[in-house]
Amino acid sequence: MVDKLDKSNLDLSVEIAGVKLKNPVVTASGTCGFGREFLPYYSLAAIGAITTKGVCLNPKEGNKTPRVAETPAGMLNAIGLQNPGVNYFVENELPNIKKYDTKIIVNIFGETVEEYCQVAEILSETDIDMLELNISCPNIKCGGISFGTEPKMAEEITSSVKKRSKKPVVVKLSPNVTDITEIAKAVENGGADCISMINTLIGMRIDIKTKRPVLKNNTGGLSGAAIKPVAVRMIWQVRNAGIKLPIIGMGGITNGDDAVELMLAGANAVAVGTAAFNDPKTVLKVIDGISDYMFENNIKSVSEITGAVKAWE
Amino acid sequence: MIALCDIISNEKMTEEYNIYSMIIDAPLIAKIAKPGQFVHVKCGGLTLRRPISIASAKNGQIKICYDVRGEGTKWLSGLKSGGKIDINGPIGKGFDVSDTSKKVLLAGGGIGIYPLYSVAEAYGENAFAVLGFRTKDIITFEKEFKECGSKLYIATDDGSYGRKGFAIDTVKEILDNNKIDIIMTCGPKIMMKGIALEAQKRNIRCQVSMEERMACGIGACLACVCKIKDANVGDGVLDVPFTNKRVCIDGPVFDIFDGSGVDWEW
Repeated sequence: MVDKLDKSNLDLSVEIAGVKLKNPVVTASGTCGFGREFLPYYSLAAIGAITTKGVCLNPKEGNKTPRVAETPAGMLNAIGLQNPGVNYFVENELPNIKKYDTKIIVNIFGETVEEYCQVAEILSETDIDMLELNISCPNIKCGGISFGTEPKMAEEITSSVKKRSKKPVVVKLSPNVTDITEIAKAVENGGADCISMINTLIGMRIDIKTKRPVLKNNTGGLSGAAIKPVAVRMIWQVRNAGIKLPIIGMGGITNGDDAVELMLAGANAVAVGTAAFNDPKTVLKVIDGISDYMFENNIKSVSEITGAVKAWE
Repeated sequence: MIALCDIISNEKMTEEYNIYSMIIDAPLIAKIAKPGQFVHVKCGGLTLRRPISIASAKNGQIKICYDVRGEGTKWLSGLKSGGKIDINGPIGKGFDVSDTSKKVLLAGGGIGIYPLYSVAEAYGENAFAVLGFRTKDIITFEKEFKECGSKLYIATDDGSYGRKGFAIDTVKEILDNNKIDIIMTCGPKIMMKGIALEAQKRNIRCQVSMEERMACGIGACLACVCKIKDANVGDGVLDVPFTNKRVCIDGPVFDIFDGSGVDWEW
């Protein structure tokens, strides 16, 4: 009989691009603001890292409302990257996050390669741990979507930011492409330290009474449980394409089993997003669920799960 | 706070229309709830919670009233007394009930009347209440408002009950004949706009309860923003730009002072 592990001795820590996370569960960009609103529900010290709302150089007011619409097992959003700008973040939000023992991933975007680089430079002088390049937000015209859907552009923006950033660079991939492995290879060639995937899938809802799209932006990004199979498939494809970069997997995670599924496909860490809107404590549930899986399957280190899928021949 | 609470009752209030009133045993929420706040209600397996205003909070119980309009409220209408409901709340900033010796005019439209009910409870005889409905069969809470001591006026769009016409007509009449210190309104945007602009004309302080499609309900996702001018009590009309405010936690009630405080076209 195999000795059962003691639950308290499970190793949930993972190392991504030289940054050690105490557990593999992080928040997904745009779903947790800058962390403040979740403090009544859990301490940021409980999670591996916080990924902030996307910031750019200057404040941005975002799209008109309605900005969200529910869909079967998911939702559409078109917030439009509303944010107070990187300098406001550094002065007013970062000090608050620093009170907690967690790693900080700052999601950044810009209208031009130069803007991405400038934001990266500003953040390089601060006490954050990683940058996440949003090259894939579907909701604003200059929100980097062309960077995220053309391999050449994806490579160029990655290498440009890498040259001017002192922090490890995570590149967030868009699923709205024909072949995600091409983009993944491109950002690997560009020098990315890590990939996060997937961003939302572009969708649309129409009110049949008014014949108007429900979202003022007409289209929006689909997230939630509905997109989990797409995330699992794409992570698996990227791993099969021989990409060795660490992957932060996201898309429809609502519990520990979902997280394990993305990790089996090849993710090193996972991000929780939309599910936190319904239950703000979802991250804690996910961490517990991963621990339970490890305990039940006699897995000592959470990294053993990564890529352990036994695909059919 | 998120709590799994017992449902005391969940009953349809009108014959013709699917408007329900649910009483929930929620001692902690009832204790701290303020008029105009809401609870965010989990609806089965749906992705998002639904924001529903608190109509009344007393004796350890809260009452929420809702119109069955979509999947979420349809699911809610199927709940029975003795069952459980998962609610997060109370959430948001409510109406000002710090000085109930003031004369308040409450203007509600449709399901917008419910958050005003707890204000009416607080102000008692110092409240004028104008409730607008589409038609007679959809009227609820007439008795409740009367029992609070409010001077009650009911208007129906089709004239099938009370005064014929929109709430704004009656509001103007009351303002012509009475000294009102503050106006509070909740209902369709077009109604609130008209009332807020009337308040501006007469230089009366006005509080509006805004509504936008919501996702997280805790201020994180920035889905439910509206454009409001920042103002503090005593500032009066401000010559400042509109800023994005979250309906969920910066509102839903905004002290706008007058109609110019909201960008109604946003």
